[in-house]
Amino acid sequence: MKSLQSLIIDRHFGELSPEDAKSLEARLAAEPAAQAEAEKIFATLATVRRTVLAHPELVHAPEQALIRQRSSAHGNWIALAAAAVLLVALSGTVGFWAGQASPSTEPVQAAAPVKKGPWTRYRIASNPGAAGFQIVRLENQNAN
Amino acid sequence: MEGIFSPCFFMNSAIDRSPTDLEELFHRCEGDLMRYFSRRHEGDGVAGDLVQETFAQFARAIQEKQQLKCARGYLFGIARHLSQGVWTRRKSEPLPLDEESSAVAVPEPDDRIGAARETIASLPSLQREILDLRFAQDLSYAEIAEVLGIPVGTVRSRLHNAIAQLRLRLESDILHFPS
Repeated sequence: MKSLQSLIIDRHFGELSPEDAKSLEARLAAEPAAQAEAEKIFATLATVRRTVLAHPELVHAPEQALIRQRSSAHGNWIALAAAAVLLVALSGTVGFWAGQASPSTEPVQAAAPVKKGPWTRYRIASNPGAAGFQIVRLENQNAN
Repeated sequence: MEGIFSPCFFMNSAIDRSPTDLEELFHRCEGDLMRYFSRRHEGDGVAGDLVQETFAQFARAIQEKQQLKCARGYLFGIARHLSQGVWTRRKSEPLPLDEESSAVAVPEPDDRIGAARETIASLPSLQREILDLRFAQDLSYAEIAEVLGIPVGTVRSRLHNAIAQLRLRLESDILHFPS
């Protein structure tokens, strides 16, 4: 069975059968509460009509909203990827600084092999005689 | 005799393909279709062309089809299809700045219309379109069903549901913010 609201809406739009319309009219005439209900519904319908007429963009707003939703979904993937890269970079940086800050277990031993490396035995120095640069072997220099 | 522009003139009847009927249909529905396209494509200057194209497609369709459920509904169905085509083409074009900014809600002079607008904007697209076809185009339930390709019962239930939601919101606002 149709609710009073449905009957009133259908009647308003001319979608009620003549028999049902007649029955509804009789009910509205007999019941003040039903009449009051009808007036509230008519007020709503009038506001809806004004709104729909004033805002034609509401019809195609969903399409645009959908586009925005899609683009924001794409944006989410990009944001996720960026967040992942940032996280990796951040964890690397934190790890690096944590490593720098923590005391080394072998400070002396770690430095010793560096001295034995090829770059510790040579350095570039200016050569006043040739007006240029020369590679100086540190061991020889120390020996001298 | 049932008129050609009654809600479902062609229901269960063979189509009269005479040019007179088509001309009459054109003269009676041209204004409605122009309003339909103008509302959807305001400022595009395509409404007139789309009305012509709608009738051209309608004329071709009735040459091929033996029966149409509802001439006006079928006509608006073609119009809707064409309108969607225009929107699809526009989607690929970047929106002008002023158009993007117009999507931002602006305060309504009437609170009730503002509240109704918000509620309608939150409805699914199908319900919004049903509201538009009913309130702005004055199509019957049967015509809306033909346009959207859905059962009449669905049109009715979605429309009633939308109105119920709007009523709830509007009456709730009156209770909480009486003017």
